[in-house]
Formats: sequence, structure tokens, C-alpha cells
Amino acid sequence: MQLTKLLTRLAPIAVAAWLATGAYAQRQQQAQRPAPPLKVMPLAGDVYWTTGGAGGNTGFIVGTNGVIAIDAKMTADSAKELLGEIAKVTPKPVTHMILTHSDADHVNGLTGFPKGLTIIAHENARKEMAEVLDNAPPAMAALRDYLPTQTVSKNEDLTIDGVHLRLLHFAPGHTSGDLIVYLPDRKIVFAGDILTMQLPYPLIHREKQGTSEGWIANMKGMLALNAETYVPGHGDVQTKPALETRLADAEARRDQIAKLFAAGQPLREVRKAVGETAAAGGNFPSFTEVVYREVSASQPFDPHDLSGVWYIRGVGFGMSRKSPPMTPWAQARYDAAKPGLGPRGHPLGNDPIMGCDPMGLVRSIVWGVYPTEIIQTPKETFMLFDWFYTRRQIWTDGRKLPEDPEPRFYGYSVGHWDGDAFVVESNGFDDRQWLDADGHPVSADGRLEERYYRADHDTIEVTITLTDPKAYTQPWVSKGIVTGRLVTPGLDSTTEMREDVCIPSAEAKYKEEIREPAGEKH
Amino acid sequence: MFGNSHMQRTFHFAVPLLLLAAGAYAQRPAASANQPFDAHDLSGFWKERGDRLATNQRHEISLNAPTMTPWAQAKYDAAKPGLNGTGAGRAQPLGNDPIMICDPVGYPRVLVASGNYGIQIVQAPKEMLMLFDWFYARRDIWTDGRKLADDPDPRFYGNSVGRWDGDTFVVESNGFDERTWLDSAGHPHSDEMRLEERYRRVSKDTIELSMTLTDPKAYTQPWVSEKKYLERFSDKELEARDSGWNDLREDACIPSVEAKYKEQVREPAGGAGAPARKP
Repeated sequence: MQLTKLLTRLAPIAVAAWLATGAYAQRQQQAQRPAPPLKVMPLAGDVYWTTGGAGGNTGFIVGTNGVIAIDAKMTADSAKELLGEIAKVTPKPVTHMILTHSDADHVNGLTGFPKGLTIIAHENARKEMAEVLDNAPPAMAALRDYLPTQTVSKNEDLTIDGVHLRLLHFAPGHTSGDLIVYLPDRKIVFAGDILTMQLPYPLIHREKQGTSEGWIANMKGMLALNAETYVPGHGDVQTKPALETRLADAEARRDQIAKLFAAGQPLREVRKAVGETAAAGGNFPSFTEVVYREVSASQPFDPHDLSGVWYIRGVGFGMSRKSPPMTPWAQARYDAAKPGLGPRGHPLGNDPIMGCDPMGLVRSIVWGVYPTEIIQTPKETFMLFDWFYTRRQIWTDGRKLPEDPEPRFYGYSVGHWDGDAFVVESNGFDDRQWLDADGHPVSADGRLEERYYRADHDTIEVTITLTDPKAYTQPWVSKGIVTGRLVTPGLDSTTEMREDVCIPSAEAKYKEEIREPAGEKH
Repeated sequence: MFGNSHMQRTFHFAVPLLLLAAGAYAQRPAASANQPFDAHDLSGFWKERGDRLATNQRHEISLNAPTMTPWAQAKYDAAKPGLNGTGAGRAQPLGNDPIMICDPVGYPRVLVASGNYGIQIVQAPKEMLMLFDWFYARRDIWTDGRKLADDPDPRFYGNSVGRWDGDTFVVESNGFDERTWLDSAGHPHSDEMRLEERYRRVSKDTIELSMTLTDPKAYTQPWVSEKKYLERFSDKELEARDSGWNDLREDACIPSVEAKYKEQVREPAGGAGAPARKP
């Protein structure tokens, strides 16, 4: 049996759980995989670079009174290993930290450094770190004490502890907050993840507003420097000719992808045409995929056309990690709710969807794994949800919301255009539903406002506001929810939209054969 | 108020079928029947008026099921309809109808056994949607010219493509999940079933439908339905329904509610040796 067929045969909740635990396990594995020992290598004078340990390369410069470090590894343990190696070179303390960007494998090790460091980063990198922390599990709370203390918004010349540095940001390349560290006196450049030499082509994080165009600008900017040694975020030290080759390769491929897109080739065909392997991007979207999506996103679009198949990107968990303060009514319900997954998870919880009770509206919208198809007709807009094979209808014929409707799991909805924003108002919610996988309640008095704004050809931005005074003392505004169009030309919704109906008998069997035996072990 | 409305919901599931069976819905031609209409427009709110048929109480493809193969006969014999079962001794108050625990009702049962429940047809540029009150189910019929896949993943609501043949909208489907019953009588089908449906709007208020089911693994010859009719809901009728604002109801099947109903109502009644409910 094909894997896809097998998966459709499995209970949908089981698949969701499998996906969730799979992603989690992968992260854990990355964090826990025994790393090669950290090695320190001198470059010139008092400048060193390091490789190994957990996370990306780092560097450090020994100044008059202290040490300036560049990037912080991925874990506190690895950071401590780095500190140990620095101590073998100099007794001076690390006083400054420069972050080349916000990725976890370059910043999460900050918690292994003593508090009170001067931490310098691009202003966008600081924003990205703060956003991650807003939605982070409690285990990451320690990082809050290590947000950058100084930010850079344009190119800056600095002298720290007698060391002359230039901090450069040409454009959002790998991320929106790239910062290149240039030591003019030593002709050394720390490039961060603008150079990821473990991959054949550049790594661009679109979710952090990185762009291939910006990457090229950063490469050209670095090549124009009077430099001889380039330390990448990953991989070995590079020379200027090596950078020139890498830039030329990436530019050629970018042009090739744009041509194939213009010829109507779907992504999978483009991958084949350029000879890309499955692992071309490591754990991330490959350069080919990124460029393809950039080209696709830049196509013209009608802002009042929301139709198509979309995935929620962003939190994918609920409205946001934290709810506003709950009323006693809501708190009691929340306390009684035992999620099957997540921070309050219990393997044999009482999540109503585990028995195939209806999903409810908000949960259907914000769940991030499965697609939603939007269909617009003159009088109604439909949102068809893959998960639970369910739907909601939004009337656009000018009617008003009913005043005291019979509660529904998917509520009653009307929509109108407010400029280029499609505004949906809903009421009449059945209060047996959970708002999210964590078990937040909604009352029958709850009113929902959703605003959908088509930001580019492939992106709809979504903001959801729940006003439910019976449950929450203030309106709950969603955070970090962006819908991204993942359907590519040549792939359409039959390929994407499945009939992921919840089957009580299959769920019961899964519970009996898998969930209960597993639960008993806990 | 809540308990009450939830209780009403519990009964949605069973009661309209019984009402229908009891002939509570008298047939009366609507004043709009002679108004002009677009033959290629099937959109709007409809109901399957089983009570126009000789087989009205059956909720089946038709009375004259073809001869079953031994494979199908064994499945049919094992099926114990809880409601609307036909044939001597088939209906049992505590039957094994999969929908009693909210397993998907599937297609075509969601249509042919829907009684006076609402069906909304939506014509979008690339697909036709059929949305159902019952089970809050839906079916997607692709009209963008694609062909049916040879070996699609089985779906409870099938895989469907549609095209216009003159004024007849022809829908072909395959890839049906064989766990569903075809009808409330428990007729089985295999995942090799192919269904052809022909819809024709004959008046503003009426769509005629005929179905041909071909499933050699289950039936020795094609099963051709008697003519079925979808009748347009008037605005007045829609308003009178409990949604209160002229749309489909959200008649989702809720396993936890059904389980409670079974425990509190169906089992005591069945356990007390009550006779099977006759349709």
C-alpha cells in the first residue's frame, strides 16, 4: 500500500499526533545528537574561528580587556564548551557578543554565557528573537535575559575594546536581520549564514523575510570588501574566488528557475530540471523552492480574490500561545480540559475531537498542518477544511448576524470588504468546542472577527479577534498567523485537499490498540 | 436552554426520517414552478423528495436491487439496519448501522436517504459542491476537465468529475470507501463501484436525477435507479427551518451525543424487547 493510502486509512487524529511528535522528535534529535568536539582555529592576530559543538560556527577576537564573541552556539552546554576553549586561549572574560542573525543554532546558546554581556545584533534579528520568545514554550524562558542590548540598523563602524569592526547589513538575505562582521585591519569577514557551505546553494529563510535578491546583494557587498578570509555560518573558511563561484552558481540557477516558472513548470518539474536532490535544503526549503516561491509570490493578483487552496503558516497552534485572562467560568472549563498533546498534554486526554466530536470554527482555521480551500461565489464564501472534511459558510449577501441563533460548532458568519480586507463576523458558537488544542473554551456569547488581507499572490494575512466577555476579560487577538499559499501551478486542489473525515470506529480502534497501551506506560 | 437545544439536536438525526416516513410532508406544487430558469444552473437549496416515489419509504437507490454476488450478499446479511430497514426481520433497534456511531454516511446514501433534509448545490468555476444538512457532509465534483483517476484513494464521498451533456449534468464517480452502506437498508458496495448520475433541471423548482451504479464485485448487473427528484426549497420553507436564516442546518453527527442517546434511549428501548421501529 502506498504511504499516502496508508495515511488516509489511519485515523486523522493519529496522523496529526504523528506529525506533531515527528517534528518534535526531529528537533529533539537535533538538540541531543552528540556533536563533534568544538575546535578553535586561529585566523590572524587575535582573531579565531570555531567549528564543531552544537550549532553554527562562531568566532572570537581578543581585545585589550576582554573578548568579543561572534555567535553563541545552539545550546547552553555547547556555549560553555566554547567558553572553556576561549579560556585556553586567554584569561580575559567575554564581554561582548555580536549575533550574525537570529537562528536558534546561533543564538540559543546565549543562556550558557554569563548575564550582563553587551549583545549586539541587527534590529530585525532582535525582533525575530523577541517574536520567537513570545510564542516559545516555557523551557526557552531563560533566553529572555539575553535579548540584544544594542541594535544596528545600518552599516556601522565600531571600536570595541581596541578592536576596529565594521558591522554591515546590505539587505535581508538569509534572514531580515543579517549582520556581517568585517575586520578591515585583518581582512577577515564573518558572514554568518549568508554562507552555508554544507549546502550547495544558499539557504534563505522566507519566513524571516530573507530573499534571494538580498542574498545576492550581501554577496556582492562582501566581495567588494578588501578581505581575504570569509568565515561562513556553516562549513570551512572560504576565499574570495570561492565566493565568486558560489554567487555565479546561485545567480545562474535563479535565472533558470525564473525561466522554468515562466514556462509554466510546476515546482516538482523545476526540481527535476535543475537536478535537485530531496535534501537540497537540509531541513529547510531548498534554494530552488525558495526562488520558485519568490517568483510565484510576485505574480499579479486581484486583492479581492481569496479563492484557492491555502495553508496556515505561523503559530499553527491556536489564536496565540497565551490567552487573555480567563473568567472563572472559562478557567473552570480550561482546567477540566485535558489536551492529548502540548504542554498540558495527557496521552488519554478528553479532547472532544479524539472521539470525532466536531472540531469547531477557530480550531479549523488556525490548525497549521492541513489545507483550507476558499471558494467565492457572489452571495457566499466557503472555507472547506481538509481536516475533519468540514466547512464553514460566510454570507456576503448583506444579511446581518442572527440575534439569538441556535448554537453551531461552526457559528454563523457574514463577510464584507473593507477596502482590500475581507472582514468576517461570526457568532452563535456551540460552547462544547475547544478553541485550540490546548483546551481554551469559547462561550455561546463569543463573537469573532476575522480580517483576511491578500498581501501578495501567494499570501493572505489573517488576524482573528475573539470578543467573549463570558470567557475572557479582554478581546483575544491572534498573533503570528499568516496564511501562505502552498499550491503551486500544476498542482491543484485535488492533489492537495483530502477527505480527512474523522471516523469514530477507526478512532476507537486506534485508542484501544495504540493510545491506551501507550498511555498506560506514562 | 442549552440542554434543550442539544437535545433537539440529538433527535435531528432520527426524527425527520420518521416524519417523512409518516407522510407528514404533503406534496403541493409551488407557485414558482412555471417561472423561467437557466437549465445549466443547479445552484441553490434543494431537498430530495423521496415521497414522490413509489419507493418513498425506502431511502434506497430503488426497490429493485440487482442480484447480489455472494460477496455482497454476505455483507448485506451481516448488516443490521437500525432504522428504515426493509425486508423481514432486518430492522433492529440496536442494529450495526455505521452511522449510529457517526461513522461517515457517505455517498450516495447522504443523498438518497436524506429525506427532506437540505442539500445546497454551489457552482464554482472549477467545481460543483454538494453540501448536505445531514452529517454536515459535502461532496466535490470537479468540472475543470480532469479525468477520474484509475486507482484513487477511496473516499466516503467518492471521487467525482462532472460535465454538461446538453442540458444534462453528468457526474461520474469512483473510488468509494466500501465501509459505507449504499442506503439505509444496508446494501453494500465495493471500492470498485462506479456511479453515473444524470441531473437535469426540468423546471425552476425541480431537478430530475437518475443514477446508475456499476459494481460487478457486488452486483451481477448495473443498478439503475428510479427517477429521483430534487425539489427547490422556497425561501419561506428555508426560513421555517431551525437555522432561522435561510441556509443549511449544521446537522453534524456528534459521537458523544449519539453515545449518550444510545445509552439513555435506544438501549433501554431495545433491551426492553421493544419491537423494531417500522418505517
